[in-house]
Amino acid sequence: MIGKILFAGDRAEALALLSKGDAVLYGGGTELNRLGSLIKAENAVVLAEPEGGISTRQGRIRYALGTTFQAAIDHPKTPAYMREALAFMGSLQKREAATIAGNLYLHRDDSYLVPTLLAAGAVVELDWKDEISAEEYLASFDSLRQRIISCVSVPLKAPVVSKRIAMTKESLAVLTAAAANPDFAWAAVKGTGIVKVGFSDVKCENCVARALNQAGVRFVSDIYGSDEYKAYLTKTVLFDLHKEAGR
Amino acid sequence: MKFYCTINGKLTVLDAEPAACLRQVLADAGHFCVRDSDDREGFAGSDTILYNGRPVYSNLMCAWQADGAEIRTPDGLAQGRSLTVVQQAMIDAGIVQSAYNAPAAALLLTWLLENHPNPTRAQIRDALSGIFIRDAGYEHYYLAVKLAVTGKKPSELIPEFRKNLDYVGKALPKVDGPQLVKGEQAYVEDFVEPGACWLEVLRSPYASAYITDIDTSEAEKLEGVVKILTYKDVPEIYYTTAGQGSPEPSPHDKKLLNQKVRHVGDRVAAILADSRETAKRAKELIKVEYQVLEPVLTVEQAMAPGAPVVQGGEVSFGVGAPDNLDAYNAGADPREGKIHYPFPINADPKHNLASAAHGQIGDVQKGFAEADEVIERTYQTDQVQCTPLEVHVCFSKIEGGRLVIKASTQIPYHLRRVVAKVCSIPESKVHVIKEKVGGGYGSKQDILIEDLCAYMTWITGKAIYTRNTRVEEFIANSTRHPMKVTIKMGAKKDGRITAISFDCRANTGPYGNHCLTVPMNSCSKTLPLFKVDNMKFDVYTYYTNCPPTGAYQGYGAPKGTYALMMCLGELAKAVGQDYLSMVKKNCVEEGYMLEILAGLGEGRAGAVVPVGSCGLMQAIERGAAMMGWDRPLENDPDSDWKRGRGFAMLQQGSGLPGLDHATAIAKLETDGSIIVQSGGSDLGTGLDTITAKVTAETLKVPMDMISVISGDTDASGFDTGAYASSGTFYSGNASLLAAENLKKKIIAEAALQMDENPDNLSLEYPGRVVSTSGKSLSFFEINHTATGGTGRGQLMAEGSFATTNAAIPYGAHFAQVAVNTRTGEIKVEKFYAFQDAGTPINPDMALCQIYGAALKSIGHTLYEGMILDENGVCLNPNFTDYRVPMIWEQPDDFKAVLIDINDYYGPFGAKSISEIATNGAAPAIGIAIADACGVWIRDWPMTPEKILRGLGRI
Repeated sequence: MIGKILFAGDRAEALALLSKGDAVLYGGGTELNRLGSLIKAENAVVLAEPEGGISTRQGRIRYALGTTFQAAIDHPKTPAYMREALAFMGSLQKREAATIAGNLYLHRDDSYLVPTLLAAGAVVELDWKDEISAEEYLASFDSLRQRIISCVSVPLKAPVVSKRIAMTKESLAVLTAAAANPDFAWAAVKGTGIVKVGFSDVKCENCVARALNQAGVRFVSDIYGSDEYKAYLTKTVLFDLHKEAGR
Repeated sequence: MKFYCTINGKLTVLDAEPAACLRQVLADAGHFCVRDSDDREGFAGSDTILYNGRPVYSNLMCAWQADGAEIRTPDGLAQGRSLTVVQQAMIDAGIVQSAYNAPAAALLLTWLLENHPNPTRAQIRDALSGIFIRDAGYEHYYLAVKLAVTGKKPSELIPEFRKNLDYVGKALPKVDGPQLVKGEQAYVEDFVEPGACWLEVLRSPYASAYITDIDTSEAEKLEGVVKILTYKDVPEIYYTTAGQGSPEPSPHDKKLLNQKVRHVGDRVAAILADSRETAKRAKELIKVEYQVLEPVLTVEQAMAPGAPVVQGGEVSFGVGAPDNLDAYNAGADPREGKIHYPFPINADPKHNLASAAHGQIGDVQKGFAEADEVIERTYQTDQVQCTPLEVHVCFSKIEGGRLVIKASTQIPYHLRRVVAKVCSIPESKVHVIKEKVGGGYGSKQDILIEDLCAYMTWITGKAIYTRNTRVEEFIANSTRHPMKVTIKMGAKKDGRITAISFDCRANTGPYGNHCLTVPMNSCSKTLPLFKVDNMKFDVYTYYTNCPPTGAYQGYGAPKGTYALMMCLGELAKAVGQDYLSMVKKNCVEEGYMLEILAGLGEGRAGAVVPVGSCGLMQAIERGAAMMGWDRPLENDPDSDWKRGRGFAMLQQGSGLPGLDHATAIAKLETDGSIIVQSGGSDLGTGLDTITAKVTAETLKVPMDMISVISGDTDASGFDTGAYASSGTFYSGNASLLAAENLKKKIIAEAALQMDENPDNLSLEYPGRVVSTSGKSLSFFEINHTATGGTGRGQLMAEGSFATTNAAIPYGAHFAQVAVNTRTGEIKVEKFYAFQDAGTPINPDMALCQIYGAALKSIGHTLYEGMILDENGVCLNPNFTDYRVPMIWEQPDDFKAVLIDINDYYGPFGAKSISEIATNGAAPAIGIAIADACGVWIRDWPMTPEKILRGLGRI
């Protein structure tokens, strides 16, 4: 749990506070304040002016820093594929607080949203100025962790199909996966992380299994399932997404 | 720092650290009904508030976020003493039961209707998606919304029973409903006095170890520390935590603090300090050295030759000591403590055997020989947690030289007895007050924190408050006993069962509370369903070092039902019979003599009785009809989803014949109103309402003329407590007897005052005595004269109820599932629960109890289970990873139906309802899964991975 709140008067001050390395940005609070939180930080930076807002521009919908899951669901321009993935978060109270930016920042191995964002080709705006793909953001996360995700944008139209597998709606997912075309898919696999799997000449699930192997994906047995189960599930679901995304 | 906000429309200044938990800040500011069920996990929803018009978890917010915000809390919904439409509708629908987060639910439904005046089912589900309802299930929340939206009366939507009665069988508001739904002071935490000390417990990190050294000196130096206790400081008094009638069948095998710790989370030291923070800091300063021992965690490990011994202490008996006791005790290690058996239960603790029981009727070998098919199957259930929304709490103090305990307990009198024993004081020096219980389900039938809290108060004189964390609820609370049940069943080709052999190996964990009775219940509440002449049972319970077990709704019956019905399902296939026909051929009916009961007493001989009132066949036939059992289920051959159906017949009990006892006192007050002092413990299930109803019905008075005081050991007579589904049958019958006896006294006194023959007098609503001659007196007039200067005394009467008669509730639960044969996913599409509760005195609440229990049962069937590593550490001590079912897991088509049967012995024909509905889901779903995809899953939970393995996909 955080011990101290640092109030930043403006964006510049917030960035300066974050650059010191001993604070994180206060997003929705659903992870930061949670018992057993993965974020171990003593301080949290709060922006003086709330940064919410959803807009559209050049065929994309833009979710500003403080946009919650529910705000995005409620917005009439949010595409159906995003609405489906946002609704993976079962609890209304959490959806009213958790942010899209925060979910991407955390990129947990049971993430509700990240595979869908990646499949859709999401673009991340950093510090209100630079833009990179979400894929690039995650690949360079260690060097970018102190920068602020000021906006996440996705196409208004994209043929993204997503699937989440969990024992219950509110328990952590063993697998969340998404694909937008038959060439590759993204998956968040519990115990493994976020993986990108390229498909070539996929005719059956075992072809997907080979692709997973070639991508260096290793499955881990834990309380969410055995490694064999996760391997089977991942190849099966990705094969189905591959077929569906190809239609 | 000051934060300016509006709370319930009123400008408020909150003074707090910016990072402070908003829920705590609100609670400290007087909004105590914004409760904490999950220690900031962000799951249970008891902490829900409306924040700028949106529902959020206040536990996941900080104080700074209140600045400039508009906040609404549940206590702001109603004005004064009135109820809002939503609050009234919730009471009318029967969903205000243990109610720990009912205020939060009221807030959510209010918000929903403000935004969607006529919401769809999907919108209602979404509004309730973040609140965990454990008691009443979710189905009647849809009904509550309907009542609120339409303004209909409950009687238009909830079935009623017994047209000839005014209150019994009618959906009437729960007597404490307004208090609970409005979030008024109700629970132990609401009555903690300022200045109370805090009790913290240091717990073992090891599953099995001796404490070789414990140094509390640094901790004791801390400013604010009042007292620290270790095993060296506590009395050598052994007891059981099980709240059962004395002499208890459970061994007395623990002290307040033991030198040997027997599970991860076992008590090591008790720290009393002036604040929670100080107690926690002191805890960190205690230095403990352990000699770590090899644990045993499963029955197999405990049974193995040469297995480490869990309870190796010196043994003694109250009665029935064996001749070789001295030899048995030779070499007992004093570090192991002691075990005292009030009477023998076939234990052999040196071989980890906590208890054993055996019995049979007929000749099972002959029966198997006669069979055309004999199968033997083994079923395994796992460790399942009660997860009450209100954790275990206790407040104790000294008042007038007496120890006063405010507890969230099912068993005030047993608690009083055990505490008196531990403190070595007379029971008359102990006053137990059961406050509202925010969820028990059996976990509060054990004395898990009150013993230590009360003892610490007694020796220090301090008022003390203690409260489990949610992690402690998982690792130091009581759970279901994991069981391995082997059934051997034989049948003829025509489907008649010729023999059943039932072998149960139960895991009681580190202590023996309920070690005989829960495993015994697995066969005593299941075998009597069968009309089979040859039946045998063998029950063995083993000590292990897994987290503690105890009582949980169903009390062994869910596991026995699962094993027996699944085996019957498999046997039906083996003999080529339809499963439904086979069940109907072999189930009992009214009048059938239950010979098997002779061996199924709790540590003593059971009473053989015939089946009394029995709605079993009705439940089976009506359920089958509703499920369309006679029509094949269509499955699309191209779809990965395959559908299947299953059902199970069930029974439970209504209290413990020959063991339970209840008392009530009914008093006529000077204005003619009535106070009933009931020894019963209302856990939210409506027992106080039952008391009020039977009294009102008998004495022909309006219900609002009656007040019920219950669960207070000073203010009522003895009652064994709320367990074994005894409330309605025992406590209800005691209240009925008290009312009937008061009626006699009223008539006798009225006869004297009116100079009439009592035979000419009768009672008439509202609270009058009338004679055939036309004279009448009101209760006020009668009692006013009776309590006058020349009167004969206040009219009051006692009712005391004990019986050897059994009022057995029966039922049948049906499930239709869809199984995805590629991913293993399982959906429960339909679940129909048919039950006979005799006369349902509170039909609204009875239905909700069926829904709640059935959903719990679906939970333990498909999702729930504590996962331990090889060292006995629980890996999932939180709601999210433990996987409780929420509204999303509720079947879309979910129906509870009350079968109308009048019982001979229950008050106004009532039987119990509170446990039986936990028994059906596992076998019904298991059989349905097998029907769908051919896989028989013989262990809980039935997961997608197990389906896939069964299909050979993994």
